Amino acid sequence: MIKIQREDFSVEDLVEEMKRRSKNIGAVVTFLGVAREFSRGREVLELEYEVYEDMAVETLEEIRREAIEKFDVTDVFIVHRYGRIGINENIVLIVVGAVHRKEAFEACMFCIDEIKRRAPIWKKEKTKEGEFWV
Amino acid sequence: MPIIKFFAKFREEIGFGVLRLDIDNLSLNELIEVLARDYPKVRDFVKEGFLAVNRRIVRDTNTIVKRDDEVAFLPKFSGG
Repeated sequence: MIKIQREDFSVEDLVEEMKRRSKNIGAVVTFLGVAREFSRGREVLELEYEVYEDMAVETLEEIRREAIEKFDVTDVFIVHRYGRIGINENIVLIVVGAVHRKEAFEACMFCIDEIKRRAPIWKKEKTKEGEFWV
Repeated sequence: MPIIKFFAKFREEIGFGVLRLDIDNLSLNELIEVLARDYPKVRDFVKEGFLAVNRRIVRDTNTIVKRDDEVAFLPKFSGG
């Protein structure tokens, strides 16, 4: 499951959904990216994410499929938000379900690294000193 | 007419997100030159970021752009 959405999401709901995917899931690993207050020495007031939606959906689906095949995990969910995101709010969630923990951790790390490298998503930091695309 | 899209920093710098061009069968290089007549910044965009044709990153600027293609100027990504 891939979602690109403005709204917040519930980590618990998605973990529960993953557990229901298969009776053979023995490990669920999540990565939650959160907006932090300090970045590059500047105090961040708010973030704004922009996304090339059609391409991002295709890219995230590709990353998801690669992770499932490469690490032989049961399923992967990726949710990424866009629009205005306040400090401490959720930005991105990856949920990996697998039979064992090792492949779940590896697949989760792979997904977040590949999202940062390949997904057409951009972050703007709004600070007291001005707004910056980073 | 191909649709040309600009995102994030590039969208703000050029002042709009979408443009339609009345061209067909031009290489990306030629397309960049056509755009640069009115918007010289696109040359910097090519150096600074990526080009995508039909939602795929394209590195070869000899790639031909056809009537129904979607070309996007993408700054370096910062998602996640």
